[in-house]
Amino acid sequence: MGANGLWTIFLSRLLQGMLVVFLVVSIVFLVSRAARDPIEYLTTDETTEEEKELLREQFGLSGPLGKQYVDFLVNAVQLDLGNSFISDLPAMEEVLNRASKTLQLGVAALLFSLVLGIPLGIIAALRRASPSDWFARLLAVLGQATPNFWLGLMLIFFFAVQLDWFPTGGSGGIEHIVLPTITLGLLTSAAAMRLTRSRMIDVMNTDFVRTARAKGLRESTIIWRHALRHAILPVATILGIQVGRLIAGTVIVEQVFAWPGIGRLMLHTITVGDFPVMIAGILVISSAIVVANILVDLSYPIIDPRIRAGGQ
Amino acid sequence: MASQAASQAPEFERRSSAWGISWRRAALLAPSGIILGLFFVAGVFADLISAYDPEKIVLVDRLIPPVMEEGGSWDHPLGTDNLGRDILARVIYGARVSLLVVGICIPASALIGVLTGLIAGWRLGWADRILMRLVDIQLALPAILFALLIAVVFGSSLRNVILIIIIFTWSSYARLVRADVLSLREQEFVTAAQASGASDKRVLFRHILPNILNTIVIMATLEVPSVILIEAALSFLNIGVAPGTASWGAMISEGRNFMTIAWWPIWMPGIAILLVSLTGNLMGDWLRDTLDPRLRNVR
Amino acid sequence: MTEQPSTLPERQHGWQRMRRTRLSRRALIRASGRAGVGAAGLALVGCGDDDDDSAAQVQQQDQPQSVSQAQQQEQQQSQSMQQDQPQQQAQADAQAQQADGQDQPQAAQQQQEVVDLSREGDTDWERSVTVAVPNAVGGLDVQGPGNYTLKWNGPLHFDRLLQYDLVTREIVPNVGNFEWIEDFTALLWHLNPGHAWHDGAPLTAEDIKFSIDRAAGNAAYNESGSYETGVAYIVSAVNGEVSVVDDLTARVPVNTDVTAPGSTGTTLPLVPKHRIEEIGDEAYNREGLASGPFQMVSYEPDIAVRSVRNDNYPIGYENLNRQHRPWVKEVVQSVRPEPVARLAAIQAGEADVAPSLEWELVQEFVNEPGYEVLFDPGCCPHTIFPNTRVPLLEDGSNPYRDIRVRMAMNHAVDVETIYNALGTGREQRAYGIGTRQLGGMQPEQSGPLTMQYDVAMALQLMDAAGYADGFESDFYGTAGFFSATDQIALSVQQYLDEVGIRTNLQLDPLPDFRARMAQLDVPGLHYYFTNQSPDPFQMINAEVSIGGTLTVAEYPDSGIQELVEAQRSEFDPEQRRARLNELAQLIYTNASWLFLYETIGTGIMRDDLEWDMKGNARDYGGLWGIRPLLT
Repeated sequence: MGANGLWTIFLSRLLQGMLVVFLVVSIVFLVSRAARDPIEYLTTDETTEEEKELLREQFGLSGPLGKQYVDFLVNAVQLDLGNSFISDLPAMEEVLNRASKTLQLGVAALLFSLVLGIPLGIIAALRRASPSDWFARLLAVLGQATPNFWLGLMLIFFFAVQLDWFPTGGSGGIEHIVLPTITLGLLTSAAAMRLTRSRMIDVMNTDFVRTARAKGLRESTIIWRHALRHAILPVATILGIQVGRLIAGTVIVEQVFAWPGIGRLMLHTITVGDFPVMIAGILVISSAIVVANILVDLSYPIIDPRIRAGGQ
Repeated sequence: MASQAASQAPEFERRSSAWGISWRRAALLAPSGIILGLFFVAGVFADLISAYDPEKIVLVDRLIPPVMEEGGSWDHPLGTDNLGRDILARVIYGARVSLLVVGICIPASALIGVLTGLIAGWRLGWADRILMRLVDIQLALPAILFALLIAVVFGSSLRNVILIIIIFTWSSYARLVRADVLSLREQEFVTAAQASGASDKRVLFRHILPNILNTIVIMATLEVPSVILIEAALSFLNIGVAPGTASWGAMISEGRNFMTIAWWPIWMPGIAILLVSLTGNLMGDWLRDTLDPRLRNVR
Repeated sequence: MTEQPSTLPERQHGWQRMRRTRLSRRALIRASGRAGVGAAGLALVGCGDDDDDSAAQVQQQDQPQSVSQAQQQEQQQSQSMQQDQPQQQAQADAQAQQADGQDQPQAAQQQQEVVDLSREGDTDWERSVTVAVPNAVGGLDVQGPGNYTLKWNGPLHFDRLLQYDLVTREIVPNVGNFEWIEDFTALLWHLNPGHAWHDGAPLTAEDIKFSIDRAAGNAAYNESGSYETGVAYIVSAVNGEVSVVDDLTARVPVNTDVTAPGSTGTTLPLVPKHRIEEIGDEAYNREGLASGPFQMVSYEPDIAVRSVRNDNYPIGYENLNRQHRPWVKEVVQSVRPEPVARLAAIQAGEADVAPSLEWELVQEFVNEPGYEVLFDPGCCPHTIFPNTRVPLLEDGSNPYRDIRVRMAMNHAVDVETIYNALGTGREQRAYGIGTRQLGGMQPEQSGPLTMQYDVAMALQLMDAAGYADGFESDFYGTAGFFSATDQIALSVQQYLDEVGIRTNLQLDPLPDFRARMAQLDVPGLHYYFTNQSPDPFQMINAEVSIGGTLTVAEYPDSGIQELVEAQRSEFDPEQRRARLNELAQLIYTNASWLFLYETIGTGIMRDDLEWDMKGNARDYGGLWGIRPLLT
């Protein structure tokens, strides 16, 4: 398969991805518009119905849903998602300002989970039933069984209040990102560890590893050159899925640690009914997930040449 | 091959009991089984076991500590929460909620996901494209945020929580299974089966499915705690089960505002989640070894 | 008073006049309270920079016509708002009027002022104070849609024409005063000299005209601009062209009283004409130049807002009962969305104040050295409104229309046990509308009327009403807006269940809840709040009066509506107070709603700070009131 073929696949996946993003945004737009009247957030008890109607017109919230949707699409195609109802700043700008913060946190958490999860998984697999295996598995279970908001609060009280090693929240220096990273990354690292471990165990029992052993290859060569490559395939898939879960996790972790990212912005905009920012946020988040998954898909043939991307 | 595998397997795997279970493993499995059994019994017979109504508010009895603490008594072995509700009763009834959530969500999402993955990975072409776009839509829809919207539109209830969790989780199975099918369909035993004239259905369910059961079981085990935790996260955001309902997630979420004056409202359900996750994982591992075709061949 | 209720063309003008009369009368009462503490207190209040002494101010009300420039200047001096301390007259009246109940706290307050001022040297003038806040989002244009509600920006950095006196809760001049002219169809706004924008430019009448025009959406400066008028309704009272009379005077035609508490005069923030015209709306939304007691230094959305003391703010430290120049040198609002994390920030030394924190979180700090727990009056009595407008049951009936059912509800709920368990021990039963001073239920009246917790009585009433087997009803409440509302709702649900009112409880964010209640046709119970402003006028319009935006519980045959109309058209303050009192009693004896209690807000602060809001809630708008102490 040449580079040309890879490009074709990449482009078709990209087009499919755009379709997906379009559908996601449409679903959210229709569900949210159909169900809620954001005017209530911008008015007081004494506001009369006529005044509310006036405001609806100003915000483009009047008229039938279908017309609102078409208007929205026409504007969206021109890259105009409107201004925030709350701040009157361009919605996309508000979201992108926050996106970098979430990206920082997400990448840190992903790295943390890989750095912790994959080596632990390999060690646990190679020394099955040893204390290190039990330790790794216990850690994985704990990581998967602790509600992250609770873990976050516990970390705050222990490391920020009692020991005073880290700030209780906010953003700024590197010290601010440590606790949120651990809180967010623990669940993913547990998943990565378990998958790596079980895959490694499987792979180490396969014919070609035994053949390699019979050929007298060094154990470390077998593990690093051959076994790991096979073991890592489902881990890559898991990571594709985990990107979405990480983003879900950021909503809570950002709330607990006052991390000024996109998750907290979205939580706020959904609760206050700030539609333009909400739609812009959904657009950015779903695009990020789609891109991450395309990258994972494209990495399959690289990790495991036996699979041809697209499956021809 | 079989004997070779046996000789390569770690030492303890071969010191098996009569049922094909190692003694060390049996020593762990027994308590795990008991705990899971208790969880199951508590969930099913909650109303027979519990001495209190879990939603009964007794304001004068609020925040009574558990029996081992000063001020605690056997009237409320695990203490009471901020509204004077018995925590033991709430943990027991919470097991019912978790059992329902786990018992419905995991089989349902696994079934949907595995079928999708099998069909997509085997058929490829248009079926694959359409099914995978569905998966992509689900994955690209920020789940928690969409749940927030849903909760605002339809209100919060156990039924909505279950639906939301199924919507969240089915696609992970689909992707994983599809990836495995893609890998397996190129392998000799599959091509051989096809060559010998086996129907698609037979190849999928007799040859491919057994080989990916391992992955599915691990996945499903991984999902047990995470499903319980999604429920907790939804409660944290005020979009979980109906107000007042005893669920472990809601208990932890409500307890966080009292965590500086009372540790038990948050730790008791936390320990319950931990125990169920731990034992669920151990059982999952055992199942994995039992179901794994290669290891099974050995025995 | 000298006021003669002369011939009034329209009722609405009458209302304005009545209000004015009432205010001036109460200003006198208040002044007498001040005088009661003697010469020391007088000397201190006398040095106010914008306080003018005039005994003649009340007489001028009847002939306020368009006046010449010279006259205006004089009027501003002499009339200068009835609320201001006319000490001479006050002194004369002091002995006679001191018995008035309202005076007591003020007398105490006066004492406080003396102490405060003698402690100027104790104040740490260089202190930076960090406040843990739940969020800081939005743009900086305080008039932008949605932005006017942002607590962290509006009240801190911006000025309004009028403000509240903390003790009397009356409106008092801020950057200027008002004067009714042309038979109450227009106002003259007089700016006090000395006010300036944070960039040094003086505040002028042009700015007032611009602020009103801009908020009303008819500013001529930017017709093709993108500015959307989210606050248009605030100034819907302005029904004509605002004109500038001179540098410090603007004429504003109005059709309702915009000087009432909660109206435009007290809520419309002023924005700088020169700056917005120079840089445009969008740039201004990112800059937010203002003129208030704090000047903003930096704003990182959802991270922190830094502001410094406006040392040129003309309202000085002698005005202890109202917004004045801050004591703290710098205030940092640091965002911590989780309540527990706000507490952690205080414990870790990252924050000095967390104004609103659940009682459960702060209660163990009550006797903890280094901390001070803040107790604030809650914003509003909690009240549950039954919908009597639409059928509840399948047969088309509505049990809530039966007074016996409503009385049964009130007897069924053990309000005192709820607040003793969930509250701070300072809560009190709520009796519906009105503060005591404004005609609400008086203590001696409520005693015998109170519907005490009595399950047997409740069951008997249910039986008599024909609902011995009870009935089912939806029950809507709010979550996450005021602390403990979910716990209160669950407790109430259980109490109601015991007398057969089986409810299905649903808790939603406040705006969603309010949207549902405003539909007026959703049957069941709606757990909301009453009495959000100092005068119950608006609350009565919104929640009691038939046709009000939130009036789900209406009782056409009860006589309530007649009293609503009566107090609305009553010009004499004593009479209005009497009507309000009758109304309050009738609403309660009619068991119109399920009456709960008024919650107490709590917070926490380091004990080297002092924050005295004279019995008002400490919130982000009152940060100027924090005084750091030298240790």
